[in-house]
Amino acid sequence: MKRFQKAFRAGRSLSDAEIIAESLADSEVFVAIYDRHAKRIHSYMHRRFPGALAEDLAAETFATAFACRAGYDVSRPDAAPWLFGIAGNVASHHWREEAVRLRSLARLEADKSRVAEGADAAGPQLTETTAGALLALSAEHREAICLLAWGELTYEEIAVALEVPVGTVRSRIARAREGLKGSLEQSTAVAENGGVRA
Amino acid sequence: MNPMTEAPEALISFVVPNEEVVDASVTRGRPRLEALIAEQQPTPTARRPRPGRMLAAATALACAALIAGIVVGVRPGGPPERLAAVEAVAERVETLPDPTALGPRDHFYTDTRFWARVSMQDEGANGKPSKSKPWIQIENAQVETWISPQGGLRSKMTPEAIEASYPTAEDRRRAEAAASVVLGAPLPLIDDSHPERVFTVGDSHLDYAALRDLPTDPALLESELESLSQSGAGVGRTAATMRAAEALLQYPIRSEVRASIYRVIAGLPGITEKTGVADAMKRVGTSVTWSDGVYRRELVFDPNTGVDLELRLYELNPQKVDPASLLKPGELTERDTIVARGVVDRAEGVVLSKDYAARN
Repeated sequence: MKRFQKAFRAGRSLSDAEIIAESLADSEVFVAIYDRHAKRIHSYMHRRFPGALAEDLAAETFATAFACRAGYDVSRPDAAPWLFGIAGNVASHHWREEAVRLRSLARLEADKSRVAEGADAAGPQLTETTAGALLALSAEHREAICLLAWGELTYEEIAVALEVPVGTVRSRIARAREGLKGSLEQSTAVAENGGVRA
Repeated sequence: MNPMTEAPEALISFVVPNEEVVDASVTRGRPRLEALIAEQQPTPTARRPRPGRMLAAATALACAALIAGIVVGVRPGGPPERLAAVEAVAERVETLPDPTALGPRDHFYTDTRFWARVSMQDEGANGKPSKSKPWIQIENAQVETWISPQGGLRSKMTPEAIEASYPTAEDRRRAEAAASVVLGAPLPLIDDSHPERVFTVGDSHLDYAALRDLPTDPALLESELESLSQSGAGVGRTAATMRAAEALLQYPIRSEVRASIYRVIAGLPGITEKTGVADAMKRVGTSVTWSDGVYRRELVFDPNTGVDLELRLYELNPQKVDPASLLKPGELTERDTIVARGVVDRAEGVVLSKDYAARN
């Protein structure tokens, strides 16, 4: 704590690794990790899950991180990838709720489109097709693409989060993109051939 | 950019949650974390660096650790899947006959070989490490314990089996140069000073009846394990549960309870499993691994009987515990190998307690 306060008074910002290490002696310091990363983790969870559950899962992510902080690799100054990795593990138990969330979002967007029909449809929308394509991906591929698109992590950070080599991340994201493209193209073809538009 | 051809994930990247909802969620989350932190006990105490006058103390410490079954720690994140090999062990163990019941005059005996690779430093003034250079010392010892179901624990270290060696000549030179090093010093070979101890599980002591009455339902047992662990509460569910589970696996519990312990372990987050793991006696078993603030711990057990064979401790960040430590992260630092275990009709060694002698 003394080191933490000293650095704070000196205006020097401790790295996440330093804070986590410090929190082993003084657990209250860990709240600083929350303050730094809560917004991103909560946003990520709220993109994937309905409100109350998202909030609970974000809380669970930080609770797990706190419990596991002794095992944190202090050679990594930024804890964000580690936290997203934990978030992914926490989220993986709730894929059914995630599916419901994505489909309800898609339906909501569809309703908004119908309201705005005739007007200039603004920007891309999450259609049920897109949601379905995302859900059709394997859990590993979906996790990788979600960390890229929603977690806004780099490939290297995703590698840390998922505890896999960067090459594996590239491969998973490439396959996720192929999967999304394949599903979307197939869906577009159906629509153009008179199918029901999602 | 055409998302269909360039980056399909762009189709989902615009899904942005309501800012106010997220902010409210963040605001509510902070006191939740603060409350959780406030509830916690202090983080696990790291094993302190061993000063020069150490062999006897180190071996006694190892004995105490063996008896107490000290286990804490979890791995960051954790596989959501249950551990298949551990589940299979539970299936096999469940059908085995119960171990021989302990009679009132019996003792539960365990013979353990202790091995440790430790970073040593000469003891300076006030018990603090001196400025002398540290060295690596390898320690071996035999530790035997007898537990009476009526209460009383005896531990014994066989002098012939206690030895220290050095990986390099420089290590030996530094050890010999350290004035306070006393190898072969008188050792507390018999420790009969724990009449209150029966079966130690975490911070709790169970008598034999309580040991035999443990629940077999995994959910109930997990709750019981966490409760028995007590001081493991500050290090998470896995740590608290494993602290008690590892201790119980050493004892003559019912087969159904042993199976249930493995079912509990199979569902804990932050544990990995490995099959085909050979222990120091070349016995091949299955292992589970997790980590705490000081060590990555690996418990090897017989996949057919569920009996524990060996506990290994690997360093995580030794310089955090002792800045002068010569050990490296990931290095095996301690190994407790179970050589023999069973029910015997008397405790060997010198009986120091009259009460204990009267009972036996």
